[in-house]
Amino acid sequence: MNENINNVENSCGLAPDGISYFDPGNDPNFVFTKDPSFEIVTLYDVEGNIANMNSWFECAHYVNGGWSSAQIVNFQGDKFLFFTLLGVSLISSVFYFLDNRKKYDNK
Amino acid sequence: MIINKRAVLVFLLIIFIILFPLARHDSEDVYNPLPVDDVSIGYYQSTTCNISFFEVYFENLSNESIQYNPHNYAGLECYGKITGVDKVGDTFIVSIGTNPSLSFTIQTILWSILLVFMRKKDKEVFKLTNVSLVILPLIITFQQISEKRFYSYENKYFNSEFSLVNYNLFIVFITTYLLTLFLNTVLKRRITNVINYIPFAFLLVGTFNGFNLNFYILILALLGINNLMYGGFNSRFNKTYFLFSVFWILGQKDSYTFFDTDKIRGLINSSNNISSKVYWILIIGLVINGFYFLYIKSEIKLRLLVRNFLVSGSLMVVFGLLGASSSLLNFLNFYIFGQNKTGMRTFDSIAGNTWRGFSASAESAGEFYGFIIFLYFLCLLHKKINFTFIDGPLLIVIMFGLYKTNNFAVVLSLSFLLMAMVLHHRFSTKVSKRIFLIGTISSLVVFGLFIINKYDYTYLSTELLYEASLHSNLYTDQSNYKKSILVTDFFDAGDLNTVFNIENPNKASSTLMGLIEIYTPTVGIPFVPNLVSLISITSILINRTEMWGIFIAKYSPNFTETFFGHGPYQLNNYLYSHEVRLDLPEEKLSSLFLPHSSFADLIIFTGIVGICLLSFLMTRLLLKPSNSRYMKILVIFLVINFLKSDSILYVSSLLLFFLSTILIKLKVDLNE
Repeated sequence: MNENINNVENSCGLAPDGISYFDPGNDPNFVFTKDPSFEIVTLYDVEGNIANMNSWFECAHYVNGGWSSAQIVNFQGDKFLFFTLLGVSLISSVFYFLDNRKKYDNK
Repeated sequence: MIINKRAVLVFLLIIFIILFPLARHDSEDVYNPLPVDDVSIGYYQSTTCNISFFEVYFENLSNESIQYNPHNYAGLECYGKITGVDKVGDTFIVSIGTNPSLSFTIQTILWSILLVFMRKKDKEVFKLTNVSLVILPLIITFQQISEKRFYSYENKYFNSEFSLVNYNLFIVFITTYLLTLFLNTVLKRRITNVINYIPFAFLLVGTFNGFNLNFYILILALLGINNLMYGGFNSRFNKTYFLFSVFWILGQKDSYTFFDTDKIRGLINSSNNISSKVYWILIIGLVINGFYFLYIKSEIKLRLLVRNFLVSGSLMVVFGLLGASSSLLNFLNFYIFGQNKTGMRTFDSIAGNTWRGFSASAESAGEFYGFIIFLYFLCLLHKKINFTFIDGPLLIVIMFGLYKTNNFAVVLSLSFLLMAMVLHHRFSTKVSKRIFLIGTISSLVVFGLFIINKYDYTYLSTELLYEASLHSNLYTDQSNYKKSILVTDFFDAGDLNTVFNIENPNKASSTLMGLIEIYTPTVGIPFVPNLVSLISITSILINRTEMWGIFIAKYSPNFTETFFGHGPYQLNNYLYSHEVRLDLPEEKLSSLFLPHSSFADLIIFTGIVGICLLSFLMTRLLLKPSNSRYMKILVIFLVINFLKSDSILYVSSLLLFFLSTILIKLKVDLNE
């Protein structure tokens, strides 16, 4: 439970005065009320989906459901680009130096 | 009709490189593009990096209130995709992911391929050194570390630590390595012809997205390395430059000031630390060596050069107008041509900077158009080119471009010099040089007397100092309005000592104090005008009093900096080290105030010693006999205009100036 409180505080900040979290359960009529004084927080799930939180309570509910303010990066773009470029540069270098060698031999 | 299959293939490859990243999408995904409006903002904000730029564009073809902006701080997975939508006023700002690491690779490939279209020789002209394969990538990677504050804002992958998993640094290194490999291959048969394609630097700006780096600077640095490797190390320039470098490095005081580079991205030091200074000393040293190397190897083909100027100038106008009329083309112009900032979005002349995007300022665009017109008529007059019917429409488009830049100084200097050129050509055999010189000096004296007669001499000679005082941080406990009244009273009374030394000691910049000392000498030489008065009168005549006043108020160098400057392309100290209180409307206070004179820029970079050396070299260049002496007038045209603009800070203008000096020195080949 402590871990959950920490997660909620990390993502949503401290609970505003007079508000504490309770589980709204599966009530289909439950509506999250917008808190104008709450600075909107963006949360992400494991699939990379994004949701904007309009109140601390809503934010806490999502965090308890597994969402987080830290975007989970599944795709390491820089690593992918690096290895692609490395492959291209190795092949290009071989051609470049072979070509240089051939011209040198011809002379 | 003969179609060059290779050219078609290259063209298709270019189109693919440009369009693929912006159009790619997963046909099985559930994220569909929606019309951009107040309702769909939330949808776009929660489906970031899923919908491609082209999907959204084609869904919103009829929506004219959309503006597409590049968003650099996005990952590779978001490249070419929507990373957010916001509404500012009535405009929807749609952000497109343009990660700098991938942009660097794509733009490098794209621009390198274009080099293949340059004419080549049948045989290798020169073999470029393989040492550059290591040195150039190392220097460019070093820039990432030395300007880490700039890059950490731009690229989410940026990490300044040296580690094997710091892929971003390796990406920069390998991409530069590949570029060097390619340039070494392409340039060995084209090096002599590169000079004839310089006009295209105004169309293809070449600033890498999210980088403080320019494509032409990379090429010149590569040529610079070759110049050094093939015996240029011991040149007089390199020895002098080394001496200056010692002063620049010894005078460096690390500071947290940071210049976001704004419209001069690609050719300015963003940081104020020793390593960034070392990088800029290295790169500018190499660039100057590269210029020299190009100068030795170049073969000017005047007809090709003039044609390229006409094509580049008119394309710049056409693409500028297309960018203003379409949000898609506006974004593509930025992405394909490597603009420093996205281009103008309206047809008004004064909306932002008129040709912003292709040119950092309307002034430099005006200089470029003026140069083309001047060069064309110069060559026509001296029968170096023949008029062809296609020239007419191209010239009209360029004249329209010049008109839209609102650059009155260019129009005036162009008209005056063109007239002088025609008169000289027509009557040079009948009028001696002495009579011509006497006539010019007499005209200047009469003009000077007319101006002094029209305005009060004291007003003319002190206006610049007065303007600088208004922008200085004087009377700190008073409002700007009260400050201006107090300063005006003291200037009217001619009591400068009280205002600067008694009531506001150590508040004015060292430049302002120095100029006041020159203005109030203890010994006056009769009939010799005071230097400050001359500068002041000039500033009034060319409408530069406010800008130069701000420069004088801001620039406060110490003893060493006065003589040797702050180092190449280092504006941080000028912009932030001396406190000023600009006497301007509130909304203008956060604007970037550059000195508005390349002469002042050079004083900041190289100090008085540097400017004296450069002036000496320029005078020698203009006085020395040459094969094409009539081309000197082009250099004079640019020097006159550079004195009132910051063009030396823009890569394309710098290249133009370099080209104009080569035109004087080189034997022009007319037998193409």
